[in-house]
Parts: sequence; structure tokens; C-alpha cells
Amino acid sequence: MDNDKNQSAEREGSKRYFDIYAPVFYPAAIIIILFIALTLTVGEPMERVFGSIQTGMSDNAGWFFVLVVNGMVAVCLFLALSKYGNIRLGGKDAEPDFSTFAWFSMLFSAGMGIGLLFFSVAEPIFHYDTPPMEVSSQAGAARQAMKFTFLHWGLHPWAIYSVVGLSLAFFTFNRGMPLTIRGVFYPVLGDRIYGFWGNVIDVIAVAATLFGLATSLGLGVQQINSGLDFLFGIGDNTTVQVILIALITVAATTSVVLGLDKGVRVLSELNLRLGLIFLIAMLILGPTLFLFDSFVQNIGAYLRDLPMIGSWTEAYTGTEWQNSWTIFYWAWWISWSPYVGMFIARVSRGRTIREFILGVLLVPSLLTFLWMSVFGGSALFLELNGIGNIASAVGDNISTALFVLLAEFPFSSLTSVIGIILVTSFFVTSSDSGSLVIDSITSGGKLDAPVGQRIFWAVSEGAVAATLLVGGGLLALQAAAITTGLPFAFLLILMVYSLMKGLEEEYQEMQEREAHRQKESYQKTIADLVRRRSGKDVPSEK
Amino acid sequence: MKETKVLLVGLDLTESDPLLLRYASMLGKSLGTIRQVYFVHNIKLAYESEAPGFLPELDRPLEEIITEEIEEQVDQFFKRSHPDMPFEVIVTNETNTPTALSQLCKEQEVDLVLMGKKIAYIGSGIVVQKLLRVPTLTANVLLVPDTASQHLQHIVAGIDFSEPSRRALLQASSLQQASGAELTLLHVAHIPTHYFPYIPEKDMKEKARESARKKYEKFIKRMEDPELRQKECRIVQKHGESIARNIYSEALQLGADLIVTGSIGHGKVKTFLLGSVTQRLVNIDSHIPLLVVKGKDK
Repeated sequence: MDNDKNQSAEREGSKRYFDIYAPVFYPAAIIIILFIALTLTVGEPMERVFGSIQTGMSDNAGWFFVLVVNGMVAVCLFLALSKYGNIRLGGKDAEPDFSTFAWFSMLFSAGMGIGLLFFSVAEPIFHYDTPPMEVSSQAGAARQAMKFTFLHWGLHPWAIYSVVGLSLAFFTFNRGMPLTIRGVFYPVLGDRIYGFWGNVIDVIAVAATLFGLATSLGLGVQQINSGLDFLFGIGDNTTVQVILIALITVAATTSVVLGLDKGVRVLSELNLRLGLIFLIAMLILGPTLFLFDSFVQNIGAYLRDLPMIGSWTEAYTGTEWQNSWTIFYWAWWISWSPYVGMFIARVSRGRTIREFILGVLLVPSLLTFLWMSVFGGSALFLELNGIGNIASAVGDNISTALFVLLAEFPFSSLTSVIGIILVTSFFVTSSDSGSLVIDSITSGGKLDAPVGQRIFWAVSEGAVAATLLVGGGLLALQAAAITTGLPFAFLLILMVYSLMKGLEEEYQEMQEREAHRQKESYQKTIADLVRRRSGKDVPSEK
Repeated sequence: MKETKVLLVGLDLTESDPLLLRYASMLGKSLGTIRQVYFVHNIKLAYESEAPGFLPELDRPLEEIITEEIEEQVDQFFKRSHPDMPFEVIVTNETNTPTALSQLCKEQEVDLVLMGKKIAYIGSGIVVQKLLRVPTLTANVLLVPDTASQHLQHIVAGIDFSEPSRRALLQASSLQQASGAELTLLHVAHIPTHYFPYIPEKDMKEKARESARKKYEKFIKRMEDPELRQKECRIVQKHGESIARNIYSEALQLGADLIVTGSIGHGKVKTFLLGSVTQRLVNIDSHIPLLVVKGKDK
């Protein structure tokens, strides 16, 4: 089905509706179609193959991921405090395209979105049930659970996004490179980025983004379905899910067609507002005091233990807990980073580097901490006091965790409806911002690709997700997306090098430009003077 | 502190030059101690190699033309009121203006450098800042804004009871004696309010004022001049913004026409540093001339 659509789209493709960069568009499209065809025909074994690649990666390269991700945090702190902090993305006189609130909303919606709703209840409960490190009490297990949840959702992922986003924004807005992943590597690869290697980088980025989005959407739609079923008993099955995907894809497509300013921005702001309402509702309806207490304490514990848990690799215990959690997350965030990074770059013109880093690193992290403390904290509160049975519900079906939690508190039908709307709108924003990103890469780095192409990618994400839901293989695809994390981790290191080189050049140029400006005004003064005086002297001699 | 005898006026060939020359003329009249004036401009271009490009009309050395121009202006704005004052126009051609100026100061034993201070003109203060940081500079530097009043009747010395402050005060006092202007000693007392939220602010203010007064008594006792030892110090409470802003706004209210402040300068290393308050004073848009007193005695 994808194939047909693809070809018919190509045939009618004029520049008005389609403006593709063939060396990236076709290989990416072919890889995606082949992969899906393969997953559908081969089935189970695919899942095993990718599963074992993923396990092998975590087993052997876990330490490397931990090292790289911590390195990104260090790079961010350095950049924010360095002399480069005052460099403005888009040049000295650039003004931000979006208000600060809109900017934060978009950062947040794109970066975490669905995952946040999906895991905020389930993850702390998992860690509480199976503590990663030895604990002596239930309270200790709860504390540790929140600490590790913070680790996985806090500074580290946002540091990865910051580095990728900053590199892309810098090379696009200050250096006039195309807004594609390859543009970042110009200082290292030179003109080769326009050739084969540049294409390879972009094709991997497109595939990783589409696979990542499709799996994320697949998981999201399961959660919406669980919620609806929990509330209205409409049944929890693939038919409902496919219908949901179709509806949501229509919404995402509309938003994408409207473009960044009218579609994605409005939705993201709506999202954040709705998210805040949801958060405040939970805060009030839940164990309010406990939540405030734990929020403060969690942050303190996180900051105190950050170096320790952040660099923990299970070296002496020989356990494998980390593979399915920390390493999974690190690989996941890294494989997400081309997409989130491009999106962040796209909306961050006009910010200074200091503003950018602090904005991207701290604000979403803090908001995430609050979110996790409220939802995860409420769940832990119930567990610690032996109310309800969240742990077993989480064990049965992660997608229902949020709704099982809400059911324990007043006005649960109302809050559940808000929850469903929120998952849906996060779903839509992820989908449409993803489409904008893939658009940009496959059109050779244009900031505003033609509408036809936007529709094509928005629809194909939905189609891929639906196909995999029906035919199975969502998990295989997720494993595949995550395995791209390892090559991207190497690219990240290269990216940091490239960025530093670029920033140093920019800084030098800034200094030179200033000196040049002064020199020019001085030259003008001198020239005027000479002209005036030589004019004066001529008549006086005669 | 020794008298101000040798004056160097740094000119930049812009519209501010006449104002600076007029100020120099006024200063010479008020002080009456000046014996020699140098009018200096540094050509910061390698003009000989660049001239064909942007100075096609140039038929003789640029130094000559600029000297003529400056002499004409000196005639018009300075010489009329100082017909007998020996002066010299020096035009140099060095890549680094601050170094060239400080070199000249050393050779000619300059006591005071007069320079223009541009208001709201981004990037214009670089030469001044760099000059103040040249470690071997011994002359004091007086920054004159375009909008400065052409009087010297009220001098404000900003002091913090440190060694650089002592030198600044001595210099201010010497200027006061030469000119007959009024001299106000000003200290901005600042209390760490935020650390003591439970102590009523009124008490704290009283205490800070008291402690400043004690420090001042100790500080002023070490002065040799008996008249100076009698002087009161005006102590104001720091409010909002920076100490530099407080000094400036207080000076404005007093109707002062010169602010004197010290720069840090004990050893070779410390001369690189400019006190942070002084640095702020150098940077803020101000209509009052600022005298930065360098640390080292000769």
C-alpha cells in the first residue's frame, strides 16, 4: 500500500507539491518499505533478530552509552558558561521566531510527549518492584525508584537534544547549511557532505525518525485505546486502534498542512496548557502534601546522587537490570535525537547559545521532574499505603497504568477523559513535528517543504504504525530504531567536535567583524579629512 | 600627591575633538598647574600600504595632514585662552593605540591623559578600557563625555577605604587645592540584606552606616594633610542596581562635575585588574567626567 502511494505521488510530483532531494528520498522510502514488508512477511524471527542485536548492543556497549551521555551533559554545561554563550543563533540581530512560552511548549511536546504519559506511572512502580540497587526498606525502594526515573527523563536526554539541536541550529542559521543532519558535519567532512556520505547520514536519520515515530505512535494508540476501553468499554483490539490511528493521522495531517506557525505551535501550546491542568488536577486530587514533599526531596536526592547513578554501570554486581532500562533509554533518546534535535533547531532561531542551552536543558527537565513526582509519586503513595493494586495492573498492561491510577482518586472519569485527550494531542504533535523534520531532510534541507510532501509523510507515519499494529512487529521496529542509537552515538561525538570547531570560528569572526567595523568607520573619518584638507589647500596655493 | 603638570589630550578626529579641546582649555585655566600639553592622535592603519585604495588624493604623508588639522583646532579651541602654554602635536602610526599612548606617557612624563567618552556608542570604549589595563601606565586618565559641563566646581571622590581609594582621595584633594573647587567624599555602604531576613532592615542600615563611619575614621586619620583629616564623609546606603550607579546618581544630585575613583594597582599583576566599581563607572552612560587614578607613584 505504501508502495502504490509512493509511486503515484512521484508521478504527479511537481515542484509545487513535491520538492524532493532524490538521493535521500528514494533510498529512505525504499528502506522503509522493504523493512516493513520484511517485518510483515517474516514476522516473529525479525523480532528475535532485532531483539538479540539490541541485547548484544546493551551487553557490550553499555559503558560507552553511559560515557557518551554524561559527556553530553558536560558539553552543555561548558557551552552555557563559555565565551560562546553570547553567540546568537541566526546572527547578531536575529530575533526569536516564537514567544518564550510557545518555544518551551514546543520543546516539551516534541521531546517527551507520549512517553511521559506512558511511563510516568509505570516506571516508578517498576523500579519500586525491582529495585536496581540494594535497598533495606520500602521507603528506600520508593526513593530509589524516583531517583532512577529522574535520571532517565532528566538532564541527560535533554543534554543529548541540546547538543544535536544546537549543532543543527548553529550550522543552519549561522552558516547557511541546509537544515539536515549532514549539515552539521561540514567542518569535519567538508564538501563530502554533499556526496555519498552525506546522503548515508540523512537516510539513516530519516529511517530512524520514521521508525521511532511509528513505534511511539503505535504505543500511544494502545494507551488511548486502553483508556477508552477502561472508560466506555469499547473493546481493546486492533480494529479500534487502526480507526484511532486513522483519525489521529487526519488531525496530524491538518496540523502539518497548516504549518509550523499555525498548526504545530497552536497545538503544542494547547498541549502544554492541558498538560498543566492535568498536572494541577492530579496534584489537588492526589496526596497533595506528599507530592510537594517528595518533589523537593526527589530533586535533592537526584542532584546529590547524579554523579553516582549517572555513571553506574553495574560493573561489580554483574547484573543486567540496566540493559532494559538505562541503556535502553540512552539508546532510545539518542535515536530520537535527530528528530527532536531538528525540531528544536527549527524553532530556536534568534536565541543565544546560553539561552538555548539553559532553556532546553533546565526548563523541560524541571517540568518533567514535577510531572514524574506527581504521577509516579501518587502511584508510589498508593503502593506504600497498600491502597489499590497498581503494581499488578502495571505488570498486566502498561497502557492501562495511568487509568488505574486515576480510578483511585475522585472525578476519575473526568480526569481519564482529559488524560485521553492529552495522549491524543501529544500523539498529534509528535506526528506532525516528525513529519516536518522528515520533510526537511528529504527535500534537501528546506525549511518549508511543499504541502504535498508534508501530507505524504504525515500519512505514511500513520500507515506504518497501523500496518505494524495489524501485522505485528511493532516491537521489532522499536528494537530496530534503538539499534540506530549506537552508530548515532559515534556521530554525536563527531558532532561535538564539529560544533566546537564551528563555534570557535564564529567567535573569531565576530571579533574580526567588530574590528573591521571600527576600522571602516575610522577609514572614513580619515578619508573625509584628507579630502577636505586637500580641497582647502589647492585654492590657498593659487 | 604631585601636581598635574603634563597633560596629554588623546584626539580621535571625530566631532568630539572640539569639545575635548575646550574642556582641556577649561581644565588648564582652573588648575593653573599645567606646564606642557601634548595633543596626540594615533593613526591605527598601516595607511602607507592601504592608501592607494582608499586615499587616492593623498599627496603627502598623512601625519602631516592630521597634524595640520589638529593644529587648526587647537588654535581655535585651546590656544586662545592659553596663548603662552607650550604645546606639541604628536601624530603616531602604531597598530596598538593603547600601547602607543602609554609609551608616550612614559617618555613625556605625562601626569594626566584626557580622552573622550562616547555616550551610548557601542564599542567605542575599547581604547579607554585597554589603556586603563596597560600595566606600565602611570598617568591618571580623565574620561570626558561629550555632554560634560565646562566647569570644575564640585569634585566627588568615591572611596571604599582601600589603598587605591587613598590615592584617589589624595589626587582629588590636590585637584581641589589647585582649582578651589568643592570636594565631597562619598562612600556607598552596602549591607547583605538578604542574609539576615529576621533582623529589621532599619537596624541593619544603622549598623552598616556605623561600621562604615568607623572605617572612615581610621582611614582619614592616616592622611597627612590636616585639612583633609577634618573632612566629613558622605555615606549613602546602597539601593538597587550597582554601587557604580549609586555613585553616579549621588554625584548628579550633588551637582558634581567630576568623579574621582581609584583603580587597583599594587603590584605588577594587580595592575591588570581594574576595580569592578571603577570598571562599571567607565562603562555606564554618564554626563560627568570620570578621573581614574592609577595606583603607582613614580
